[in-house]
Amino acid sequence: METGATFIDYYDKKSCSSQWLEFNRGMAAELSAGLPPEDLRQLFCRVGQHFAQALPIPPCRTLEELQDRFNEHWDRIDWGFTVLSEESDGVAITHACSPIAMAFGPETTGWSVGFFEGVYQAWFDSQRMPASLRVQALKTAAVQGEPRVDLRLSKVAA
Amino acid sequence: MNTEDSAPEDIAGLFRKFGGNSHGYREFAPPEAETETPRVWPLLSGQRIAHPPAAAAPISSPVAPVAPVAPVPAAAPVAPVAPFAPPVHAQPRPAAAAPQPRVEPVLHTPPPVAASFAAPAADGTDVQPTPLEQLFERLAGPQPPSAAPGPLSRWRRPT
Repeated sequence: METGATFIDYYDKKSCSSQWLEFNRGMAAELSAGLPPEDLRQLFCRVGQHFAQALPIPPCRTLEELQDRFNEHWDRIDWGFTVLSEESDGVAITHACSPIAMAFGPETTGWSVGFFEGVYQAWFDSQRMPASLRVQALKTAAVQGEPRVDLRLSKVAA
Repeated sequence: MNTEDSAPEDIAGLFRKFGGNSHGYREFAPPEAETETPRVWPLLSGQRIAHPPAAAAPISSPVAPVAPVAPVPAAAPVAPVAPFAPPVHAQPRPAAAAPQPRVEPVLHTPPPVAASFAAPAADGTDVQPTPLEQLFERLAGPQPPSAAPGPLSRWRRPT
Protein backbone atom coordinates (compact mmCIF):
# COMPACT_ATOMS: atom_id res chain seq x y z
CA MET A 1 0.00 0.00 0.00
CA GLU A 2 1.41 3.32 -1.06
CA THR A 3 0.30 5.26 1.94
CA GLY A 4 1.67 8.64 0.97
CA ALA A 5 -0.30 9.00 -2.23
CA THR A 6 -3.31 7.39 -0.62
CA PHE A 7 -3.34 9.86 2.21
CA ILE A 8 -2.97 12.81 -0.10
CA ASP A 9 -5.71 11.50 -2.33
CA TYR A 10 -7.96 11.05 0.67
CA TYR A 11 -7.49 14.58 1.93
CA ASP A 12 -7.80 15.93 -1.58
CA LYS A 13 -11.23 14.36 -1.86
CA LYS A 14 -12.18 15.80 1.50
CA SER A 15 -11.27 19.29 0.34
CA CYS A 16 -14.73 19.76 -1.14
CA SER A 17 -17.86 19.18 0.87
CA SER A 18 -19.74 16.09 -0.24
CA GLN A 19 -22.86 18.20 0.13
CA TRP A 20 -21.78 20.30 -2.84
CA LEU A 21 -19.43 18.08 -4.80
CA GLU A 22 -21.87 16.61 -7.31
CA PHE A 23 -23.74 19.88 -7.58
CA ASN A 24 -20.53 21.67 -8.49
CA ARG A 25 -19.52 18.94 -10.91
CA GLY A 26 -22.90 19.12 -12.62
CA MET A 27 -22.75 22.88 -12.85
CA ALA A 28 -19.23 22.69 -14.26
CA ALA A 29 -20.43 20.22 -16.89
CA GLU A 30 -23.21 22.58 -17.94
CA LEU A 31 -20.86 25.54 -18.00
CA SER A 32 -18.42 23.62 -20.15
CA ALA A 33 -21.19 22.72 -22.54
CA GLY A 34 -22.51 26.28 -22.75
CA LEU A 35 -19.39 28.40 -23.07
CA PRO A 36 -15.91 28.18 -24.57
CA PRO A 37 -13.03 27.94 -22.09
CA GLU A 38 -11.95 31.55 -22.53
CA ASP A 39 -15.42 32.83 -21.61
CA LEU A 40 -15.51 30.51 -18.63
CA ARG A 41 -12.15 31.77 -17.52
CA GLN A 42 -13.48 35.31 -17.73
CA LEU A 43 -16.59 34.31 -15.83
CA PHE A 44 -14.56 32.77 -13.04
CA CYS A 45 -12.29 35.80 -13.00
CA ARG A 46 -15.33 37.91 -12.25
CA VAL A 47 -16.37 35.47 -9.57
CA GLY A 48 -12.91 35.91 -8.11
CA GLN A 49 -13.32 39.69 -8.12
CA HIS A 50 -16.54 39.33 -6.13
CA PHE A 51 -14.71 37.05 -3.75
CA ALA A 52 -11.95 39.60 -3.22
CA GLN A 53 -14.47 42.34 -2.56
CA ALA A 54 -16.17 40.22 0.06
CA LEU A 55 -12.83 39.46 1.73
CA PRO A 56 -10.84 42.69 1.46
CA ILE A 57 -7.19 43.06 2.29
CA PRO A 58 -6.05 46.02 4.39
CA PRO A 59 -3.14 48.13 3.17
CA CYS A 60 0.13 46.26 3.63
CA ARG A 61 3.69 47.50 3.71
CA THR A 62 5.60 44.46 2.54
CA LEU A 63 5.12 41.46 0.34
CA GLU A 64 5.47 39.19 3.36
CA GLU A 65 2.71 41.02 5.16
CA LEU A 66 0.53 40.77 2.08
CA GLN A 67 1.13 37.03 1.93
CA ASP A 68 0.10 36.72 5.57
CA ARG A 69 -3.12 38.64 4.94
CA PHE A 70 -3.87 36.42 1.94
CA ASN A 71 -3.31 33.29 3.99
CA GLU A 72 -5.49 34.50 6.80
CA HIS A 73 -8.43 34.50 4.41
CA TRP A 74 -7.49 31.25 2.71
CA ASP A 75 -6.93 29.49 6.01
CA ARG A 76 -10.23 30.66 7.42
CA ILE A 77 -12.18 29.10 4.58
CA ASP A 78 -9.99 26.04 4.06
CA TRP A 79 -8.78 27.05 0.62
CA GLY A 80 -5.15 26.11 1.02
CA PHE A 81 -2.37 28.65 1.20
CA THR A 82 -0.27 30.85 -1.01
CA VAL A 83 3.41 31.64 -1.31
CA LEU A 84 4.57 34.91 -2.85
CA SER A 85 8.10 34.94 -4.23
CA GLU A 86 9.68 38.14 -5.43
CA GLU A 87 11.63 37.75 -8.63
CA SER A 88 13.60 40.14 -10.75
CA ASP A 89 10.71 41.01 -13.05
CA GLY A 90 7.65 39.77 -11.27
CA VAL A 91 6.12 38.05 -8.30
CA ALA A 92 5.50 34.33 -8.44
CA ILE A 93 2.21 33.36 -6.80
CA THR A 94 1.90 29.72 -5.89
CA HIS A 95 -1.41 28.63 -4.47
CA ALA A 96 -1.37 25.13 -3.04
CA CYS A 97 -4.04 22.78 -1.75
CA SER A 98 -6.86 24.58 -3.48
CA PRO A 99 -10.13 22.64 -3.51
CA ILE A 100 -11.20 24.07 -6.85
CA ALA A 101 -9.95 21.17 -8.97
CA MET A 102 -11.81 18.73 -6.76
CA ALA A 103 -14.93 20.88 -6.64
CA PHE A 104 -15.31 21.38 -10.38
CA GLY A 105 -13.42 18.42 -11.74
CA PRO A 106 -9.86 18.00 -12.92
CA GLU A 107 -10.80 18.71 -16.51
CA THR A 108 -11.91 22.25 -15.64
CA THR A 109 -8.61 23.57 -14.33
CA GLY A 110 -7.88 25.20 -17.68
CA TRP A 111 -10.60 27.77 -17.00
CA SER A 112 -11.26 27.55 -13.27
CA VAL A 113 -7.87 29.17 -12.66
CA GLY A 114 -9.58 32.36 -13.76
CA PHE A 115 -10.97 32.50 -10.25
CA PHE A 116 -7.51 32.95 -8.78
CA GLU A 117 -6.57 35.49 -11.43
CA GLY A 118 -9.56 37.54 -10.40
CA VAL A 119 -8.95 37.21 -6.68
CA TYR A 120 -5.27 38.06 -6.71
CA GLN A 121 -5.65 40.82 -9.28
CA ALA A 122 -8.31 42.51 -7.16
CA TRP A 123 -6.31 42.06 -3.98
CA PHE A 124 -3.16 43.51 -5.55
CA ASP A 125 -5.16 46.34 -7.09
CA SER A 126 -6.37 47.27 -3.62
CA GLN A 127 -2.71 47.86 -2.65
CA ARG A 128 -2.27 50.83 -4.99
CA MET A 129 -0.66 48.69 -7.63
CA PRO A 130 -0.02 50.28 -11.03
CA ALA A 131 -2.52 49.27 -13.64
CA SER A 132 0.19 47.96 -15.93
CA LEU A 133 0.78 44.98 -13.65
CA ARG A 134 -1.42 41.96 -14.19
CA VAL A 135 -1.86 38.57 -12.58
CA GLN A 136 -1.88 35.71 -15.02
CA ALA A 137 -2.04 32.00 -14.46
CA LEU A 138 0.86 30.11 -15.90
CA LYS A 139 0.25 27.40 -18.39
CA THR A 140 1.47 24.81 -15.98
CA ALA A 141 -1.61 25.54 -13.93
CA ALA A 142 -3.52 23.46 -16.41
CA VAL A 143 -2.01 20.30 -15.04
CA GLN A 144 -5.15 18.33 -14.57
CA GLY A 145 -6.27 17.76 -11.07
CA GLU A 146 -3.19 19.03 -9.33
CA PRO A 147 -4.18 21.03 -6.26
CA ARG A 148 -1.71 23.74 -7.07
CA VAL A 149 -2.05 26.85 -9.16
CA ASP A 150 0.92 28.87 -10.41
CA LEU A 151 0.35 32.49 -11.26
CA ARG A 152 2.58 35.43 -11.88
CA LEU A 153 2.29 39.14 -11.30
CA SER A 154 4.24 41.02 -13.93
CA LYS A 155 4.10 43.89 -16.32
CA VAL A 156 1.90 43.32 -19.31
CA ALA A 157 3.27 44.02 -22.73
CA ALA A 158 2.13 47.34 -24.15
CA MET B 1 -70.16 41.90 -33.38
CA ASN B 2 -68.81 39.40 -30.92
CA THR B 3 -65.29 38.86 -29.62
CA GLU B 4 -64.52 36.29 -32.24
CA ASP B 5 -64.79 38.76 -35.09
CA SER B 6 -61.12 39.63 -34.85
CA ALA B 7 -60.03 36.06 -35.51
CA PRO B 8 -60.05 34.54 -38.94
CA GLU B 9 -63.23 32.75 -39.76
CA ASP B 10 -61.65 29.33 -39.92
CA ILE B 11 -60.12 29.80 -36.48
CA ALA B 12 -63.32 31.22 -35.03
CA GLY B 13 -65.28 28.34 -36.50
CA LEU B 14 -62.91 25.84 -35.04
CA PHE B 15 -63.20 27.37 -31.59
CA ARG B 16 -67.01 27.48 -31.87
CA LYS B 17 -67.05 23.83 -32.75
CA PHE B 18 -65.40 22.97 -29.45
CA GLY B 19 -67.11 25.65 -27.41
CA GLY B 20 -64.02 27.75 -26.98
CA ASN B 21 -63.23 31.42 -27.30
CA SER B 22 -60.92 32.34 -30.11
CA HIS B 23 -60.24 35.79 -28.70
CA GLY B 24 -57.08 34.71 -26.97
CA TYR B 25 -55.73 32.92 -29.96
CA ARG B 26 -52.33 34.08 -31.12
CA GLU B 27 -50.33 32.98 -34.07
CA PHE B 28 -46.82 31.92 -33.29
CA ALA B 29 -44.24 33.86 -35.20
CA PRO B 30 -42.04 31.73 -37.39
CA PRO B 31 -38.57 31.19 -36.00
CA GLU B 32 -36.95 33.06 -38.87
CA ALA B 33 -38.77 36.21 -37.81
CA GLU B 34 -36.50 36.53 -34.82
CA THR B 35 -33.97 39.18 -35.55
CA GLU B 36 -31.18 38.03 -33.26
CA THR B 37 -30.39 34.91 -31.41
CA PRO B 38 -30.04 35.74 -27.75
CA ARG B 39 -26.73 34.98 -26.15
CA VAL B 40 -26.64 31.89 -24.09
CA TRP B 41 -24.80 33.68 -21.28
CA PRO B 42 -25.67 37.36 -21.45
CA LEU B 43 -24.08 37.92 -18.05
CA LEU B 44 -20.68 37.86 -19.65
CA SER B 45 -21.40 40.99 -21.61
CA GLY B 46 -21.33 43.00 -18.40
CA GLN B 47 -18.70 45.51 -17.57
CA ARG B 48 -15.74 44.94 -15.37
CA ILE B 49 -16.58 44.97 -11.73
CA ALA B 50 -15.92 48.35 -10.22
CA HIS B 51 -13.38 48.22 -7.50
CA PRO B 52 -13.42 50.37 -4.43
CA PRO B 53 -10.78 53.06 -4.30
CA ALA B 54 -7.36 51.62 -3.83
CA ALA B 55 -6.40 51.04 -0.25
CA ALA B 56 -9.76 52.24 0.90
CA ALA B 57 -11.34 51.02 4.02
CA PRO B 58 -13.00 47.68 3.70
CA ILE B 59 -16.28 48.00 1.91
CA SER B 60 -19.42 47.14 3.68
CA SER B 61 -20.34 43.60 3.10
CA PRO B 62 -22.42 40.94 4.71
CA VAL B 63 -19.24 39.56 6.05
CA ALA B 64 -18.00 41.22 9.14
CA PRO B 65 -15.22 43.62 8.29
CA VAL B 66 -11.72 42.59 8.88
CA ALA B 67 -11.74 42.86 12.57
CA PRO B 68 -8.97 41.65 14.73
CA VAL B 69 -9.42 38.02 14.44
CA ALA B 70 -8.90 35.72 17.24
CA PRO B 71 -5.78 33.81 16.58
CA VAL B 72 -6.73 30.85 14.56
CA PRO B 73 -6.13 27.82 16.57
CA ALA B 74 -3.31 26.18 14.91
CA ALA B 75 -4.73 23.34 13.05
CA ALA B 76 -2.88 20.25 13.79
CA PRO B 77 0.61 21.28 12.94
CA VAL B 78 1.41 19.65 9.74
CA ALA B 79 4.90 18.77 8.91
CA PRO B 80 6.28 20.95 6.16
CA VAL B 81 4.83 19.77 2.97
CA ALA B 82 7.28 18.18 0.71
CA PRO B 83 8.03 20.42 -2.21
CA PHE B 84 5.98 19.69 -5.20
CA ALA B 85 7.52 18.35 -8.29
CA PRO B 86 9.04 21.20 -10.24
CA PRO B 87 6.68 22.30 -12.94
CA VAL B 88 7.62 22.32 -16.54
CA HIS B 89 7.35 25.83 -17.84
CA ALA B 90 7.28 25.70 -21.54
CA GLN B 91 6.13 29.30 -21.86
CA PRO B 92 6.18 30.95 -18.49
CA ARG B 93 4.30 34.10 -19.38
CA PRO B 94 3.45 35.34 -22.79
CA ALA B 95 3.02 38.94 -21.73
CA ALA B 96 6.18 39.40 -19.74
CA ALA B 97 9.03 41.30 -21.23
CA ALA B 98 12.07 39.20 -20.51
CA PRO B 99 11.94 35.55 -19.54
CA GLN B 100 13.65 34.83 -16.30
CA PRO B 101 14.39 31.48 -14.78
CA ARG B 102 11.72 30.67 -12.29
CA VAL B 103 12.82 30.11 -8.75
CA GLU B 104 10.85 27.30 -7.31
CA PRO B 105 9.13 28.49 -4.14
CA VAL B 106 9.37 26.45 -1.02
CA LEU B 107 5.84 25.49 -0.15
CA HIS B 108 4.95 24.99 3.42
CA THR B 109 1.88 25.59 5.44
CA PRO B 110 2.04 29.10 6.77
CA PRO B 111 2.42 29.52 10.49
CA PRO B 112 -0.42 31.08 12.40
CA VAL B 113 -0.30 34.76 11.81
CA ALA B 114 -0.76 37.34 14.48
CA ALA B 115 -4.07 39.01 13.94
CA SER B 116 -2.86 42.53 14.40
CA PHE B 117 -2.62 44.44 11.19
CA ALA B 118 0.18 46.85 10.67
CA ALA B 119 -1.26 50.26 11.15
CA PRO B 120 -0.88 52.36 8.03
CA ALA B 121 0.16 55.93 8.27
CA ALA B 122 -2.93 57.42 9.76
CA ASP B 123 -1.94 61.04 9.64
CA GLY B 124 -0.60 60.93 6.12
CA THR B 125 2.80 62.16 7.21
CA ASP B 126 4.55 59.03 6.07
CA VAL B 127 5.30 59.92 2.49
CA GLN B 128 8.03 57.37 2.04
CA PRO B 129 6.90 54.61 -0.25
CA THR B 130 6.52 51.32 1.47
CA PRO B 131 8.60 48.35 0.38
CA LEU B 132 5.52 47.00 -1.34
CA GLU B 133 5.00 50.21 -3.27
CA GLN B 134 8.69 50.21 -4.19
CA LEU B 135 8.29 46.69 -5.49
CA PHE B 136 5.32 47.73 -7.61
CA GLU B 137 7.23 50.68 -8.99
CA ARG B 138 10.16 48.50 -9.91
CA LEU B 139 7.98 45.91 -11.63
CA ALA B 140 6.01 48.56 -13.49
CA GLY B 141 9.14 50.33 -14.63
CA PRO B 142 11.33 49.39 -17.55
CA GLN B 143 12.80 45.99 -17.14
CA PRO B 144 16.51 45.40 -17.61
CA PRO B 145 17.39 43.49 -20.72
CA SER B 146 17.81 39.83 -20.31
CA ALA B 147 21.31 38.51 -19.95
CA ALA B 148 23.08 37.47 -23.06
CA PRO B 149 23.35 33.74 -23.46
CA GLY B 150 26.53 32.42 -22.02
CA PRO B 151 27.97 30.18 -19.35
CA LEU B 152 26.72 32.41 -16.54
CA SER B 153 23.52 33.58 -18.15
CA ARG B 154 21.43 31.54 -15.73
CA TRP B 155 23.21 32.88 -12.71
CA ARG B 156 20.58 34.36 -10.48
CA ARG B 157 20.80 38.11 -10.27
CA PRO B 158 20.19 39.82 -6.98
CA THR B 159 16.72 41.16 -6.64
